[in-house]
Amino acid sequence: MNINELILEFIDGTSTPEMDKSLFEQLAGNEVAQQKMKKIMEVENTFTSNNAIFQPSAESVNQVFSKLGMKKAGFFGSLPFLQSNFVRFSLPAVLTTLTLVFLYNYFFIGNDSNFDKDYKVLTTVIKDIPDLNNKFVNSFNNDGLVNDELKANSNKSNTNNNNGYDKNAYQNSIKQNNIVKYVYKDKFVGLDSDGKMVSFSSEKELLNFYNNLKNNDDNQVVINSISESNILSSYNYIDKYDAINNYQYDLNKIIINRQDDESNSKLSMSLMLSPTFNFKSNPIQPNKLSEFNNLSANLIYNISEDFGLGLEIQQETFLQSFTENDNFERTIIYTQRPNFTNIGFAINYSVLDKINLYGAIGTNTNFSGLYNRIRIGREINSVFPTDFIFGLEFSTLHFTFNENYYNSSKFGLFLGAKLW
Amino acid sequence: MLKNYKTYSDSELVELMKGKRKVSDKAFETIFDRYSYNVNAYVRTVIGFTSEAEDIFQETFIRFYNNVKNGSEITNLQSYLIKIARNMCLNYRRDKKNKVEVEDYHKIVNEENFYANQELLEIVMRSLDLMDDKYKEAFILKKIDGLKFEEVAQVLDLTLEGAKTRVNRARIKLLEILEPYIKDLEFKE
Repeated sequence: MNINELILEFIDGTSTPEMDKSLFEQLAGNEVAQQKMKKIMEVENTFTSNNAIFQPSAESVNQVFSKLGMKKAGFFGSLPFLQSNFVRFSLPAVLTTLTLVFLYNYFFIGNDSNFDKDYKVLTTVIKDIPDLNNKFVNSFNNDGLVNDELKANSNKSNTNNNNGYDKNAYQNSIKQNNIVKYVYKDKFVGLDSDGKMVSFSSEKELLNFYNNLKNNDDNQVVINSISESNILSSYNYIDKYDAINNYQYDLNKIIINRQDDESNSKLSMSLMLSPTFNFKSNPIQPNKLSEFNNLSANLIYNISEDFGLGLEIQQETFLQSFTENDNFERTIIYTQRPNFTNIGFAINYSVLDKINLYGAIGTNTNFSGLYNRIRIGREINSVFPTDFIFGLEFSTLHFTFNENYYNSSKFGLFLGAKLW
Repeated sequence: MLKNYKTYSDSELVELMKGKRKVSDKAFETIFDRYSYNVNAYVRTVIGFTSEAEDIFQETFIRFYNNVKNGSEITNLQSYLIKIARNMCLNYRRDKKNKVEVEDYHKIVNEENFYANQELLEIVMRSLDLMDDKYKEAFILKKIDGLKFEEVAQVLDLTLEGAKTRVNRARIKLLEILEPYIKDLEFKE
């Protein structure tokens, strides 16, 4: 058996111990044989180290499945739990509902002319509330005690009843707090942890109710998270109730439970989807597209209410075009659309508080070069614990090839959810 | 009970393809994911990076799907798929007497792919075109598709020893063709 055959048997793993011994003896004193073995291994490894070249194109794969009347599932579609009918049908329904609620929230609530970042709905309540002259207002903080600030206001005002506070105090308090409780003259009414109307036979019973809430951590959390839209719907309920009963029950007390905005976390995390479009058009598709393509996640430390600094990780494709001269002085134009993973810094800035304008810049890096991005959009406070962010983004990838500098730009939309 | 189709053997998947549409589609997709690379590698290397190669690749899986639906018995799935692709490649080459155009190859490689060690890969691909078809094919089946010698023998209708000899001769011939290029590469480094 000659040296070539011995090398091939060895590479294939089919050589016997005797063949191995013979091969090593020949290699030991023969530099040419050593070089030969090295070359054979290098050539045969060429295909394994470049196996992406034989991956079928996305278009070809789609053609096969469409000709057979099928649709190829991606990574998520191949997960067993996603194959169940429940998930397949309920997931789109849930997503549609979320989208509709988001749109409703944005167009019918968020666009109110009296929009104020934290108290937008309450402003509407004040505008529409029945005449409050000679009505009495009490305010309670989380301890169930009369609020000192309101007490001070009430002392300055003219009121017919020493037990309550006047309209000015009510308006001040309603602007400073998120949760409103209504109490009728002979029927005490408040909002429970689900935001529904609850009646009490006496003011004492109502105060006990709040104290119980205070002592129960779970309820306290719920109370603090009662949304502004719940307050609005509760007010509507009262309005209708009064109309039906010809105002036989006068609104005489409003109890306000103070919510401390300072309790918000300094950290926030966002997930964003960015459908983007390259400035240069080219039909090239990546051989294998990540399922997480054009998705990013960032973790931001909010230094102030308006300004935050953090880290971001993102996956996305970028169209690259660069040139090289080969050995025959021909210019070869390379065009590719790789799938990059970018890691870097992000700076968020809320420019105008009134309309929640959202601005963000980021500098990331990947294996190809440096990546910069600017985002301008709007942050929407939603009825969910999650807020939404959407807008436009522009990004540029700077990279070098054979010591020449190139850049590639693209623009797109982004839609994100601020998880906390 | 929901199942992970990737855990099924080839023969189990082929059996599942004969069942209900939903299960059949999933089984086919799993087979496609398992062997599309091998079929594509074979077709691309034999025919080249042309639109005809794309057609043959697609047609291979469509024929396989129809054959299973028509009750064909399949013992070795990978060899079976390669055989379908091979027959179509042979027909294509017989009809067209076509050769892989280096320019075409360049075009596709440059536009779609960017790989490490690309220069050597291009040289190896061009060297394969200089080999006799029978050696080229044996090399592709063994070294690119990763078939066992038994499977190479099955696809090429050879004995086991015959397949082994042909593959090894192909490897030596390829190395002989590559000798001056490899020296050049080493010189440049």
